[in-house]
Amino acid sequence: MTDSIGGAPAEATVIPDAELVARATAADARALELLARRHYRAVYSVALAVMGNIADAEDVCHDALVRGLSRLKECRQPDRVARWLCAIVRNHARNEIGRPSVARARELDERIASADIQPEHALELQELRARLQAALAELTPVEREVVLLSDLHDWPHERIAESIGTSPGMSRQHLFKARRRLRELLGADILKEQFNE
Amino acid sequence: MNDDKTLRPIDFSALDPTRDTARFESLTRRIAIDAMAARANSSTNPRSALTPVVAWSRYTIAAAAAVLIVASSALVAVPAPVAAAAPESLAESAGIPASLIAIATTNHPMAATDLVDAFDRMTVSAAGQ
Repeated sequence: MTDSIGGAPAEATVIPDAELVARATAADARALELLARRHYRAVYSVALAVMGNIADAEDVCHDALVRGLSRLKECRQPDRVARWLCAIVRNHARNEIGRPSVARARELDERIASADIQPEHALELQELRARLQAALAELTPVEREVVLLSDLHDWPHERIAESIGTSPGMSRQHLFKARRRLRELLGADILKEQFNE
Repeated sequence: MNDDKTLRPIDFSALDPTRDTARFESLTRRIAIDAMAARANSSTNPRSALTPVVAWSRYTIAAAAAVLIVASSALVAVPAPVAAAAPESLAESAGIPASLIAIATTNHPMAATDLVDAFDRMTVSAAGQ
């Protein structure tokens, strides 16, 4: 897979996953970092769907990605490493729900996250995040995961279905329900301005 | 990309971890560094199949040592039994008179008078008891 991500260098979008996994397994630190960058948003979407807030999702992503990327030898299908990492993050997130050590990281994370932006924008961003997180909490876990992987990470239904272990048709159905519910909760102003039909 | 034509996608850009590029770079670099460290740590400390056995053997040895100490102290604390009298011979234990045993164990040929004397002594000792 060679999906693109925001902020990643061009190199990350060219090298196939299987080759990056082979390099990373041979102790190539650069390949390891490229894998982390390429798949971070996907695993973050999964973690956010389970944990329900940004700080906990990032903590879970860090721990699970460190665990997964340090054991790449165990990945049986290197060309599908994203699915493998998503499964590790999903399991880790489910184990971490409600643990105080995760919740404690939230305040620190919010300070770091808002340190380099204007106060009024930081407040606006925090409010928007809070609205989105509250609305996401109204969905089922699988609807959250599908809508985040689709609308945040731009994965097609085939990949989402493979990741969550369902059919593309069911993935479409979950996405439809999730978007409809979020639109009811948030209004039309939260919809993307442009998208390709 | 999105083939759901009935509803427009949700704008999740506020939740996007790549929104702040510098922060995203920092997050992923830290993950890569920690993963390399974890990998190096696991390769310097290989966990063989015998590792759990070795770990359990410590507890087993400690338990065995404790049992040995308790058993030894119990043996020391109990007084040794008083020396018993010299054990009787098998023939005496079976009730054969000592006079007959003496005749049977001598190398001399036994005369009829010896046998009569032995019975006499046996009768006298039985009467004395």
